[in-house]
Amino acid sequence: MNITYFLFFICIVVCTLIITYWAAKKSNTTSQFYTAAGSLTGTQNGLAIAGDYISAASFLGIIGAIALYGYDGFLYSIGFLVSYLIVLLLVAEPIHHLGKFSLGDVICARFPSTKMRWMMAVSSFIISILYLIPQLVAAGLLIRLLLDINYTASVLVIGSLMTIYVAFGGMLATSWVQIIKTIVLLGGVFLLSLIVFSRIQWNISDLIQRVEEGTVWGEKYFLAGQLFDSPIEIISLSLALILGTAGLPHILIRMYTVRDTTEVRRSILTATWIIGSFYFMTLIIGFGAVAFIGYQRLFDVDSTGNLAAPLLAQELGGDFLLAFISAIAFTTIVAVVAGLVISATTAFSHDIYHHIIKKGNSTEQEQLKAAQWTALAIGIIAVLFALGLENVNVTFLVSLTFTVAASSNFPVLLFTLYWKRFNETGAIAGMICGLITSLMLLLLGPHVMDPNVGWIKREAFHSLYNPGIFAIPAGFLSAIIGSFFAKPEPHDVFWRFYQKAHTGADAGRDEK
Amino acid sequence: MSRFEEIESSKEFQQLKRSKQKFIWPITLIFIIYYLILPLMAGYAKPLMTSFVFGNITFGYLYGISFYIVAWGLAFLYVYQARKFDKKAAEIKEKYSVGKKGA
Repeated sequence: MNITYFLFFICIVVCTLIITYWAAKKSNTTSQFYTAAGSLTGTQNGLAIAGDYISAASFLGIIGAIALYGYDGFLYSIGFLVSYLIVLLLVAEPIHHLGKFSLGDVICARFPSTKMRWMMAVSSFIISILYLIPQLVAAGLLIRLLLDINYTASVLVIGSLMTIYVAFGGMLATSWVQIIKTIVLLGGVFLLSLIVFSRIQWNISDLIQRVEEGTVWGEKYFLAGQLFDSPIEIISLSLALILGTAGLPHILIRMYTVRDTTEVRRSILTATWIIGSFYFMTLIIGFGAVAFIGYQRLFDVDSTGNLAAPLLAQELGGDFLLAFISAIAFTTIVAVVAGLVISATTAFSHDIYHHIIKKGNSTEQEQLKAAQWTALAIGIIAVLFALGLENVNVTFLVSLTFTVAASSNFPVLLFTLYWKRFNETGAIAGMICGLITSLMLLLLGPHVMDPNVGWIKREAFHSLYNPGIFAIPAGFLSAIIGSFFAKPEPHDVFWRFYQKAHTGADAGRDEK
Repeated sequence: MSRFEEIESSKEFQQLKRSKQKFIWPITLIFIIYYLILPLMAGYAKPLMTSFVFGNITFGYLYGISFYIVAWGLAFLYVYQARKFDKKAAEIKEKYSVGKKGA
């Protein structure tokens, strides 16, 4: 590791630790810990949402996918962008009005039972962990590739940083790490796109011509079908992307970190702007990578395409720019995993410890202690798993989290907020079936079962890499069927809930 | 009457409920359909997707880029409308505020 790399890394680590120190001094109530006491402005929260959302998998992965496979990579980025409209239109403001710290709070505002609390805590926990561990593994592999330090060391460094941010600085530190990450990331990709454009003298036709020469697909580069074999695969992925975001707990808890609904909307608008501009630039960088480096070289260095952006940086700006882009990738990783740790922590310490074990009677101090210990435990467990999985291909799990969220959390959340005939039986049925169907389809699919490279060495039961097209309807259907198996709720229960969800007026059950 | 019942039976709240439902559902549905046309076309209408619209920009990319405009447009439209909904909701809450809560 040369001195430039080292300086960039030390700079990031020191800056984020200073933030954590500052945040730790403020983080002395549960509301501070879980939601930064709603103190972020809409713009700050929007930057943090983008920081939570744009993972290294999408920063490096999407650029690589566009460089290697063209249009299919572009389809991904569109899906990531548009999913925010669904969050904005359907779930953002009701969540802000109804919940306090976790996604469980929202559902339990309508169905206040211990069973429901368990269900929501478990699903939020599973989804966050399913996303966290592969991110850590991917991060370790990536840092090893970029910096040539060993896997164990990189996982340990990233794992301890994320745990420190969350355990000591809570949501405030996490948010600011994410805000800084977003700014640095946007700056970096903007710079890289500018260099690509200036290299071709701002002539887009020239770029496209070079792309056609660089790729092995020729004309087909501009068509779908290089990455996914069948149209069903593309449709399935698109469905999971557009509906999945509105079921991701670590994104949804960010509706609590601002003061009111105006700021909630501003957060999402800001996030959409940033995510949109970001993915637009990934398109340019992806094109640039294939135009200046060529398919063959990209593929030879790393067949997954993850190194397309770093290679382009090196080609265009030498080692300094490469060090800069690597540092950005590192920041991206720590910001995302910190967001996942705090979301898993909330599910455990707020929903399970406070609401279920202590029946809502624990003191502020107890809750805060519990949250910090939980964050520490989650950090350690995630690191241990990541270390054990070094040689197992788990990175595909990152994109499948969207499928799991879209088929379990999303249907239940949507029906809870809008469907009067929905009831607790339906919610539990939808949640369990959605989780089991999506996980089973995943387990029986070609990601896991493959005669040569799979975890289970045999022919897969079905050939879909993206099982969303079956799993998502299964989640919705079981929620509907489950509802009809049980009695409807008393008339005014839903309307009380609805009134609170859409006006913020507290029309609680106990009010006479 | 409790505060909940007062608000629930008020004309203003019923109106707010209706106008909100009427606004968000059509937009959401139209947008999801507009979005799903993209993978459908990418899968089944390849000649159309590769046809050049102008220069060497294909229809496929143009349709993809159009999401930026559509998504941002709809987001702004929603924010504009939601401000009105919020104002309505605040008025309703004010009118039936806790202090006036009946027996």
